[in-house]
Order: sequence, then structure tokens, then C-alpha cells
Amino acid sequence: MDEHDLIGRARLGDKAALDALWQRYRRWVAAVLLAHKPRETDLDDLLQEVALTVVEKLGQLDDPKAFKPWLRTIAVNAARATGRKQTRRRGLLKLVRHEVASVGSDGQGRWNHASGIERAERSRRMTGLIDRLPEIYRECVLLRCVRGMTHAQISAITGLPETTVETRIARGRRALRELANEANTPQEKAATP
Amino acid sequence: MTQADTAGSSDRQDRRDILIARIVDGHASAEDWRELRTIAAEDQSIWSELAEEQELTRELVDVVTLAGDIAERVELPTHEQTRHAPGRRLRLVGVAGGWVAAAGLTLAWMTGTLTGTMTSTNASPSGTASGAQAGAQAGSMQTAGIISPINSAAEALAKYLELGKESGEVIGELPQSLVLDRTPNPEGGYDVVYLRQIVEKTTVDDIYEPATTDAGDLVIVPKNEPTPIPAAW
Repeated sequence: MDEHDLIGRARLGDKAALDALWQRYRRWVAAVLLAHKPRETDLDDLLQEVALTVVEKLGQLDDPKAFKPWLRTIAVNAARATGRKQTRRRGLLKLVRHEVASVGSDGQGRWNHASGIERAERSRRMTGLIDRLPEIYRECVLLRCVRGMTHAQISAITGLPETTVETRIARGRRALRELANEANTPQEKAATP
Repeated sequence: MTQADTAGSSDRQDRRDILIARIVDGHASAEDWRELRTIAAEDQSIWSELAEEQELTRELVDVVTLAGDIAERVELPTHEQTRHAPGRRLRLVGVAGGWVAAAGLTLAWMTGTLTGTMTSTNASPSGTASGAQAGAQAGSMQTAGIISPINSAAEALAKYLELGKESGEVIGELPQSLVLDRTPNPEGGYDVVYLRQIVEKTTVDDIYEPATTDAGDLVIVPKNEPTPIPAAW
């Protein structure tokens, strides 16, 4: 069904339409939260906070065309409000543990301990790099990694021109490479006789 | 270096980064490739940057995919579960049934019947069964009602059971409730704290269980279920 039809029906109280919208967009909502949430804040809790706000506030959305930026704003506000409250949760650890569980199998349902731990470690390292990435780049870089997300779609969510989106992604990734190289340098030096 | 030189250098760096990003994302045009090769003819380090970028992007996608997978488990609450209701910070995943059951404390608690096949059991949270308190609680849950108006906790529970059975998510309610506590009420009778038992069913891709790594960390790992033996055997 067309997005505007869904939004229209959801605003009139059609729960199925609202569910369909949420299911369509929640993956990128998670990426937005990841970009703005304080380190160690529980992603699960933030997603539930956003879900609650969507149900409560959808009636206040005047322009159905503004649904995506509206949803993004809810996510950004939820993440920042949590930061202000200084909620200290073990979200990162939880994320890494999910990673262990989800990627540690050998493809035939058997748990591969070494592979799972190694990938979890990489995930932990990457999450640390994302935290150090300048905020201005973080959201575009992460949204680009959501399955199938194009520059045009990121532009529709963030309200940035497509060219700005592309530039921020490119600069953000370079910053990430530099951060990764900085992080690797002490190890390499230590390994050199 | 003049300001113009700096700006030019920055533009060249941006262009180089954009080319790398396009190639890694698989969206580079033939013209982009030609431009990259021209740059590489003067500065071969661009190839190693490209390789680094591919590796980092793979790791980034892993992290974002994982966050998306977590999001896939979060469903929207019904309007009755919003912050107008008590107990706002609910774990909404997998507990909706329990919450609605808790809202139904004014119901006579021996009315439920169990139908169908039991596949899993969810015990709902307990609460005090003071009629006046539960009535007030039900009143506070009245909201703008973007879905359908529900005027009492009893109706909420009945609706939950009805919809749950229709969708196959609820098997039924066990006829027995477990009494946890009973105290005399100053106005007469007793306040009874009890546990309702509602049986739900869900389908999941995988089953996980807690385990401990060699380093002593608690992790969640897939549980290998034995292959079911066909009944005919």
C-alpha cells in the first residue's frame, strides 16, 4: 500500500496501517537512535520509547508528507532526552551479546564459538569508532548501512539535500578510516621489533 | 598555503572520498572508475584506502543490521499501553498479554477456559483485586482511543482474549488462578493477590539460551533443538 494512504489511515486510528508503517521504518529508526544515543544506553528501551510516542502523537502530525522527518525527530529527541537523564545502561554490551548470538553460528545452526567471539569483538570495536565519529556525519553514515537505503531516502528523512548526504557519508567514512588507523597504530608499533 | 589552495585540496579530498564511497557501495559509474584510475596513477595509496573502506563498511553494516534486528522485535503498543496507562516503562516485547491480563483484575477470576493445544505458558503479573482500586485504574486508562473504545479492564481483557484467539497468539486462560496473598479489607471482605495464567503462542526463528564464554562472560547462544521425530515412528 502507498505510504501516504497508510499514514492517512493510521491517523484515523487504523492500527494495522500504523503497524505496517512502523514495520516498514523501524530498521532505520534504530540506525538514527544508534547515531544519537549516548554510549551504553539501551537501544531496546529507546525503540520502545519511540514506539510509544508514535502511537500517542500521530494524531498531532499535521502533514502526512512530513511523516519520515517527524519520526526521525521523535527518535533523535528520545535519544537526546536519555542522554540528559544520564541513564547508564549496558546497551553496548547487550548489542555485542546479540551479535555473538546472531553471527556465531556456522550457517547450519551450530554455534561456532571462535567465530562468534571474533565478530563480537569487531562489532565492539566498530561501535567504539562510531561513538568517536563527529555527530554531524554519524547519522548519514549509519543510515547508508541500512539495507537498501539510498541517498534520496536519507535526504527525505533528514531533510538534507542529497549532495550534502553523499558528502557527509564520504567524509564520515574517511573520518572512520582515520579513527580505525589511529586505533591500530599502537598495536602495529608494538608488534614491530 | 592560500585559502584557495586549502579549498582546492579539500574539494579534491571530498571527490576522492566520494569516489571511494561509490565504489564500495557498488554505485560507481564508468566515469567514476576512470577518475579513480587517474588518481591512482599519481597516488597508489587510494587502492589501500579502498580496501580499508570495504572492510570497515562491512563491519558497519554488521552493527547497523544488528540494531535493525533488535528493532524488528519491537512492536507498537496498543493505545491502552501508552503513557496514559500506569506502568509506562513496560517491556512491550512479549509482555503485552500479561499487561492486559493485569488490567483485568476486576474480572471474576474463575471464568476462563482453556481451549486448543497448549504450547507455551505465560504467567501474567499479579495485582491486588480490590474492586474500587481496579475500577479507578481502569478509569485512568481511558484515553482518546485511536483504536476502539474500551470502557473497563474487564473489556480490555475480553478483547485481548478474543483478538488473541483469532490471531492464534492466545491459546486461552487457565481456569485456576494462583492465590499469592489475602488480607482482610477494613471495609469488609478480603483483598486477594493472585496470579492469572494465560497461555500464549508465538513463532520464533531461533531459540537462544544463556551460556558462559571461556572468559566467563554471559552470552546468549542458539539452542540446538533436537529434530522432532515424526509421530508415525
